[in-house]
This record gives sequence, structure tokens and C-alpha cells, in this order.
Amino acid sequence: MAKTKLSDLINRPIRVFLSDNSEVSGELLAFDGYMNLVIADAQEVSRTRKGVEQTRTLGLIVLRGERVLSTTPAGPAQDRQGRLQTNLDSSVAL
Amino acid sequence: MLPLSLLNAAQGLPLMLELKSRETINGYMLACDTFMNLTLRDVVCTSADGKEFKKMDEMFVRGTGIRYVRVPENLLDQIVDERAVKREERRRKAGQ
Repeated sequence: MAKTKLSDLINRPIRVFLSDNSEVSGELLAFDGYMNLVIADAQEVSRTRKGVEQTRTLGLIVLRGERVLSTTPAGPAQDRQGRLQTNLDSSVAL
Repeated sequence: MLPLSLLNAAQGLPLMLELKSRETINGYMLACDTFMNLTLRDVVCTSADGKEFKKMDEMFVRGTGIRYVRVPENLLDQIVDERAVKREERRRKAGQ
């Protein structure tokens, strides 16, 4: 089944698009009604007008929700050490 | 654990925050509120191009100007530990 709610993406890697053409990727740990996000192992990718990408490692951040445009899942769930988690869905499939 | 309660738990710890103007601010957080307004001490402000630095003893940052706040990596583990201690205390009190 498609994951449609932000709460379905908790503890999963996500990509967040911001209104100034940059994006932040990392593991979503928490969010609130303002769409403030707590992101672990965050990486910021900012683009200049010439299309040059610049990546910065930020680590654990609280991202202010004001500029969040959209979020999208960016891969399977992993725990904090980067190991793949066998969640309920995949164990049923096996 | 909501984003603002994580920030609340970071009181007294060193933070790095980036403003919408791309200026970055480093300092120790004294207090924060529900608007994400922060007061910091021992502050170093860095301009957007990273060339100018300003030092301040104390600073108030309005929450609306913030893009993101970097918090120490070990803060999460610390919170988990503190919660476990509190739970243990409560259990002991309930047992008495």
C-alpha cells in the first residue's frame, strides 16, 4: 500500500524540497503541525542558477517548516547505524 | 518527541543555526519559546559569504528568521537516557 502520510515516513530516509530551490535529505525523526522537521544525518543540496550543485553535511537538525514545499520517501527504512530494518511488510512477503 | 521539544531539551548546549539570509550563528542556547525565538550567549555570527565574523556576548534571534537549527548529535541519546531515569523514578515512587 502506498505510504501517503508524513507519519508513515518517520524513521525513514526522506528528501525535503524547500522553497528556495534547495533540498535536504536524511532520516525523518519527528514533525509537528508547522511541518517543522527533525532530520538526522541531514545533507543539504543547494543549486545555483547555473545548475551547479553544492552538498553540505549538517547532521542532526531541526528544519523550520515555513519553507518546506514537499517531502518524498528516499529509500527503505534503516536504523541509525545504517543497517536495513526488516519491517513487518517485508517479513510477510518472505 | 516534537521538533520544538527537542529544541527545548537543547538548552545550555552549543547550537549552530542558519538564517534565511544564509548568515550562520553559533552559540550556547539560553532559552527558546514556542515561536522558535532563541536567546544565545557567547555568539559568533558569520556572514552569508563566510568572510565576516561578529562576536557577541548575548543575542536574541527571532524564530521567523531561522532556516534550520543544528543540534548536538548526542542530544537524542541524552533525552532517551533522561526519560528512562524519570520512568524508573516514577516506578519507584509508585511502588512505595
